[in-house]
Amino acid sequence: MTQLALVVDDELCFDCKACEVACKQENKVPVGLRWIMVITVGPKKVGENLVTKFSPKTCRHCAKAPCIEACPEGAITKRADGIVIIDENLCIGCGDCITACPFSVIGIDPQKNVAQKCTLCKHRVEEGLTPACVQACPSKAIYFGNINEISLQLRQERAQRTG
Amino acid sequence: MEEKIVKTSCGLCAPGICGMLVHVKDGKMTSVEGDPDCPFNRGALCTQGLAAVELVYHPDRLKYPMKRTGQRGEGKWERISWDEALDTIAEHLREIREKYGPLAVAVACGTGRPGPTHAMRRFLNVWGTPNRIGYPHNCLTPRRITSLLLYGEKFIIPDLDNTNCVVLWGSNITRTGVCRGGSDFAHAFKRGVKTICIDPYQTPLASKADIWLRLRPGTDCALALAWLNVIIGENLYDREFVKKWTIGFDQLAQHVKEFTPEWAEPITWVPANKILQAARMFATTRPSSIFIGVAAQFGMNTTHTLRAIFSLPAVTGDIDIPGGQAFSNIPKEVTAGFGEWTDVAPVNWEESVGQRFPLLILGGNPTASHTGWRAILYSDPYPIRAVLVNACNPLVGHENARNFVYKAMMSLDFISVMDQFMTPTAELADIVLPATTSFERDEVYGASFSSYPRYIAAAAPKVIEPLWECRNDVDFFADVAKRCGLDFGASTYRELIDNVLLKPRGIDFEEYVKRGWERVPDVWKKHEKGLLRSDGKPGFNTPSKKIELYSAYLESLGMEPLPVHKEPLESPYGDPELAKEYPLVLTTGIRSPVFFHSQYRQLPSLREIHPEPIVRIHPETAANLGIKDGDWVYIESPRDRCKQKAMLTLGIDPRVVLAEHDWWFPEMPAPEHGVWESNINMLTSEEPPYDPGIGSTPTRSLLCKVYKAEGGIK
Repeated sequence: MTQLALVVDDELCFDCKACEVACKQENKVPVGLRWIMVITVGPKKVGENLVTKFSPKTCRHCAKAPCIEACPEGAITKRADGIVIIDENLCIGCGDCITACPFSVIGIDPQKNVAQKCTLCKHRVEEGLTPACVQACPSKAIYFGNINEISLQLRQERAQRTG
Repeated sequence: MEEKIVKTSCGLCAPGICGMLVHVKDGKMTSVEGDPDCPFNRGALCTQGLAAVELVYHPDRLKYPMKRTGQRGEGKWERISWDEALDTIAEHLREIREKYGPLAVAVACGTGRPGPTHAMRRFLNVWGTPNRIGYPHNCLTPRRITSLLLYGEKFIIPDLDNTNCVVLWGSNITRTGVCRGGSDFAHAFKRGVKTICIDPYQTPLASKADIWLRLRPGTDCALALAWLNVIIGENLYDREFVKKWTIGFDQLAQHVKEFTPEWAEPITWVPANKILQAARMFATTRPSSIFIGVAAQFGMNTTHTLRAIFSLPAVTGDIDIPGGQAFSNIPKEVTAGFGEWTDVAPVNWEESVGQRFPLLILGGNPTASHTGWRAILYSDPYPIRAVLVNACNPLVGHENARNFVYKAMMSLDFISVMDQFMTPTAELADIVLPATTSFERDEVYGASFSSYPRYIAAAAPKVIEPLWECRNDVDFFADVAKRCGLDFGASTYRELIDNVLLKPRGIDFEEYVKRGWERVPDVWKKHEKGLLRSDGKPGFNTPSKKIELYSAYLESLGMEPLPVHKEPLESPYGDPELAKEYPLVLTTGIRSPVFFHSQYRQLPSLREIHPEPIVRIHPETAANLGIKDGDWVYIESPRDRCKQKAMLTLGIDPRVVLAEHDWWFPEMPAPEHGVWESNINMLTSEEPPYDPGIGSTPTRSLLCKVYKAEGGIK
């Protein structure tokens, strides 16, 4: 099975927001909607330390995507490469997918009144490119590819770092 | 339909050396991406570069020259031709020269881009005034000056590619400067480099560091002295290196004996054991390096602070070795052309209004903002009556903005402002001129800036023709000079690049473009090879030929020859009486990843990420003041007050608040554009204390009080 996805190594995210702007420019995402967004959790006191985490949050393109189940119009489908897509022509803007999404990464385009989310830059991927956020990230914290291959890569790189 | 990809360079912030591929369709920029071939950004771009298309085609860009029709600052404008604008400027400048002499004309510049900076200097030289009002006293220049004093070199910068331990001293580069080392640091971090972060606030970088020292703003020198105490006291220094290559080590060792971590703890608010731990990590994880940000430079003790910090790698021997502090190896032939051209008929720096700061003169531009505006307002030491402002927004960027800078600007006889947008500063001008973006002009970039020890350079060809009636700053200075009967030596920027920079090297612009990124090979231990001194002998380019841990030169100026900590005058200990009314330490200027100082608040995709000015406050402090997260609050200093939005965070000491700088609101009504709403430089001071050598101002360590505001901004 192919499952294309983005996996983020949170340890490498420095909250620079480049992924957000790259996505916005590439996909002409309107103001008010962010397909990818860096979320800060913390600082929280853990023992003597202050722990803060940063992570860009976007669509996970779930294997069993709850948004697909929730959509009353059948507007959300999963492609053979694993990308979960909303068909704007079928979407009625009801927002059921938004409540169904466990990660809250779907929003409504204020002009078109349709649900929108990360498409994994399918137009770029089809040309053999990586998604815009992946290319723009200065610390290369966002990994793209088949999920099993990325997890292997991530495991190796983290092992290098922690020794 | 013609589609192409132009390989150029970003130019949205000062170094301008992030390689960029610009997609163009029918003569219009459609999108941008980072150039993976560029050794600097390695295909990445920051938010600002990524939003380049929004900048270039922004509907609010200045499009035509305009002249003021109402009172100064009233916001009434009339479109005029370039000829009329330039004639008017030349006429006023000539009149002022006749009446007051050439020194009465100044320029004001922000963080320069290469061409305009050289053009400005050439113009000042042929005009005959050294007065270039800017920020040399606090920004990059103090680093150059103190590095010169110690090492005889202008830049001493970390080799992040090979280092095993990096100290981020008041720097948040991964969030705020892809092109100032953020990308390099991220790669170092990825391979597991040890990191020590010194910052009053838990920046993203601090949160990931092995050790984070949360120091009290303005006490960096005390911290560095304590590190020296540990490193020398515990014999962690490089005995052979200090013996062979430094002078004054014994005096320094004697001097720092009393500055123990226990001594530093009550001064810096950093626990002694953490100071000890960090100093040991720095000295034993070799090669180690220091990335120094601007924060430690904004103080009344900048010379000593930077000398103390820069002494650390000399003591551990991490000098010009892979992974240590490197000296840039800018090839002479690359910069020679511009240098000779700009420095024709050099002005006498001693005549500058900044003449009272002897070290600042070493940095190449002695006109600290406060000395410039003081001359304008009080004719002290002599009058300045006209200012040409290029790419500068002093009304938000300079100290004591409303009660000092604004008054000074309003008192001028003549102001021209050249910019991309109608800024609050531009609203005070007599003539406003539309400037191109970097994509509308040919450029040549080169840098060996703050993190990258290797010099890289490239031609950055223009991508599109200038929009509307926009022109570049170099052409502007050429035209003004011509109209004033001065020899500018070039009539356009491109002519300057071709004849002055490239011709002596035997290449033309097109060839240079094709060559791509020019990267100079690493040469290490230049001091051993005789590559630092003009006589070709081993050693450093200092009077003693050694690293001057003890500075006889400073002594001759009446300053202490070894670094000493000085308590900030406006602080809880420096002025306990004032601290009763203003109990919190105010530090200012945390960078946003989406703005470059006062720039880019008009760009929708950037502003959405950072819509409002934020002041960071500890939850306990906020609770005592009845302030909740997201409340608008007044921050007030003895000078003035402004409003920012409270963000409660454990990442800051309860006794410190951290406010953002350079806020104005392009969307708010002209002519003020909200410049007096949230502008933290209304609270900073142009008055002494200054650093006696450099003229730095303590804008990062002041006193304030904070209280809830009734409502938000207008």
